[in-house]
Amino acid sequence: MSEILSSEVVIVGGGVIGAATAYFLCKEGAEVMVIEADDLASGASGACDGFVSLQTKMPGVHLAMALESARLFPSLAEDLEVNIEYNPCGGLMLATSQEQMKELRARAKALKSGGLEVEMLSPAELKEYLPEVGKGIKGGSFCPQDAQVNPISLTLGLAQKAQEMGATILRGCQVENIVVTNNRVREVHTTAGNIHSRRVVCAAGIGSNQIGKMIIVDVPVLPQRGQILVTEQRDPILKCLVSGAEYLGTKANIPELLPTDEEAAKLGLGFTAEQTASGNVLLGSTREFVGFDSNTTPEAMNAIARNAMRFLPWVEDLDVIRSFAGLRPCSPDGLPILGTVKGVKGFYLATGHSGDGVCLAPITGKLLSELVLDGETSLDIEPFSLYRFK
Amino acid sequence: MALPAYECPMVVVGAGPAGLCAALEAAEAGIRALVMDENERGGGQLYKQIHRFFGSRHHGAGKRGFEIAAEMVEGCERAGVEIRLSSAVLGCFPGGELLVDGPEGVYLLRPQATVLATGAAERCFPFAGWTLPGVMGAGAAQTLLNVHGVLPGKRVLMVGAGNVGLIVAYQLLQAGAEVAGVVEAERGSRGYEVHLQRVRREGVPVYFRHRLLAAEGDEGVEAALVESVDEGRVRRFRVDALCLAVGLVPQAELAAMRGCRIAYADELGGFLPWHDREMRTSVPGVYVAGDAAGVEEASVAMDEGRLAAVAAAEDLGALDGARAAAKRKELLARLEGLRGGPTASHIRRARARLNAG
Repeated sequence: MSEILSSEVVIVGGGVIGAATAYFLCKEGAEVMVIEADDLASGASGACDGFVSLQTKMPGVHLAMALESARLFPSLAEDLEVNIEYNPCGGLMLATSQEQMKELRARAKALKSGGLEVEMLSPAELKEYLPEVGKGIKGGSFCPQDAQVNPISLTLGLAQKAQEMGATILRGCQVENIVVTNNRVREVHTTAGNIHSRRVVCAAGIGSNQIGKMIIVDVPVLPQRGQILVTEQRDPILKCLVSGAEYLGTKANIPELLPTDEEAAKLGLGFTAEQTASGNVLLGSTREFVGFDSNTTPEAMNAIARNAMRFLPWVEDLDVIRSFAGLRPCSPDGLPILGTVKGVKGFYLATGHSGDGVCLAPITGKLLSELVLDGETSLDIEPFSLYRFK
Repeated sequence: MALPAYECPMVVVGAGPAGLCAALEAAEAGIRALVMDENERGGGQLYKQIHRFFGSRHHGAGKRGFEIAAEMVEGCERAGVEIRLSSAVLGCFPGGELLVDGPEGVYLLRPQATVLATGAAERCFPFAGWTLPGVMGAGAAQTLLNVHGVLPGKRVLMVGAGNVGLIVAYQLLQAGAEVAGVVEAERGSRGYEVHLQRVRREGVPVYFRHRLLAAEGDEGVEAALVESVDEGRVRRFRVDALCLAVGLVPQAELAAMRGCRIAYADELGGFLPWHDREMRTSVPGVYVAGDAAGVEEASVAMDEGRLAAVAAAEDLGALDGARAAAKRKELLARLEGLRGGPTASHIRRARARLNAG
């Protein structure tokens, strides 16, 4: 403990957001230290699916940010030494009622005016993307810009590249306190010793509230549990991402798209499916507020499997080999919390991505790097300010 | 849409020697246990054992494994124990629920007591060619032979000269296969001398201080490369099957999922659910027995199953303290006897370490 540690920037959290922030800061030559309480991608980044979904974003700043992020993925895929399994496969959102079709159509219009390519498909037109769908499917919307990625590889790849550029990554290191004097961050006290630093980025996901308390700032991030099933490996059977309109309903809290079944509503059930590069199909998912409990439950596993069969009847023939749950850092309005805090210079928030962390990681990392080093960002992040909630 | 759920006093996962004995002991205490097993037949690994067992009369000495299995299954039937076969326990959730996939469909069990007697899995290690058809665990070869009546290969190399490797090598010979050799990295066999001599008498060479390097072949195993540890000389065996008998690993997944503390004991197969002498895990209401509690022998598994049931019955109030203590004393004494020999000194050491914390 006698060694005195110091770093130009300290990033709290070794998830995809922390890793992306480290990567972009290192690209600019900054000296970076990442502090991770457990291990890289041990939280939500390692317990999610690989959706890089643009059509689920809210038209406006949210979509604009996602579009910027999507543009960064191909160059990351090239630059990182780890294969992040980036696949610009497109994404399909299916409707099970005419009401949902109507809502998707209205949204498609708004998304299009925000610069996204979205196409409405009839049940007959769906066949081009999905040869076999459930009888109750009334059509859907297709977004060719949707993509998939391996979130764990993405996190590890970003961290590894950052490390190669000089970043230090402390695993199994917990932040105990953040010392602020004269309205500026000065030191981060950790289980590995005290670190002198004038700049601290909080990318702690569901731990952000606890980190915020250290500088007496309330960061309104709550853990939201998402459960996912993993099937056996199969030859390619899904050409694109697939989701149900209810997934968007529970995600963005759109009343017209919420599940009508009582149990499904309680679980925040929304259908998602993707086939990973290794051939497993990930079936999702739930949105539950159950504190920090990251266990899977038999009720949700059953509900997810049954729900998936409504959309893709053939999943009945797939064996489920595993289930897992992740805790998404959820903000009150489902949008990330980015930027500085009042009264404490050198403290930056990059959290609350509410299930969009993987999709928004590249742009978040880039914007945070700009904010920390230049004090201004290439995209206006004011709408994501912590103070929008007050 | 909701899963059907059933309450029950006790569920035993695994219908091997440990699980069946746990159910029998529970029945004696007046608890009707439900035994779940993913296989089509009860008896666990005993079912495929055609050799005679050693041990004491309590454990069916002198009988063949499948006979012991049949007797235990019949005993359970007489005692009113329900054994649900082809029923896989998929998960053990924090609330204690067990998720079952059986012929009736998928359902939940909510037991007051759970005995995990899930047995062990064959250990494997990676080497060049290890995914070729024809490479298999010795236990898998034994299942093919004794349960399905299928010869795993015409000419087989056995890796590992412990009891499993030696017994399966001999059974391969009995079934008409040629055994090219038994390869063992150590200086001697950990198995019983009688099994070693029987294989040698049949003219099968046993190569001590040799290790497997690779399996070769296009569509399946065609040859195995084996190296002498001391001389470095590499020998090529033309074989069409390669059996690995390099140990067993406790199947601790359900216990881990339930949140039971996991301990490590190399001598007992590796990671296993921590448990006290009475087979209680760190989670109240969850007990462990048999190879899942550390790889030993079938007779140990039987008595551990009974011990686990005594603890469960006592905790459920079906056995009073004095009767439980008396039963436990007898079972622990028997286990001490089973673990008494000089070849079990490493087991005794590991057990002492485990019990100490």
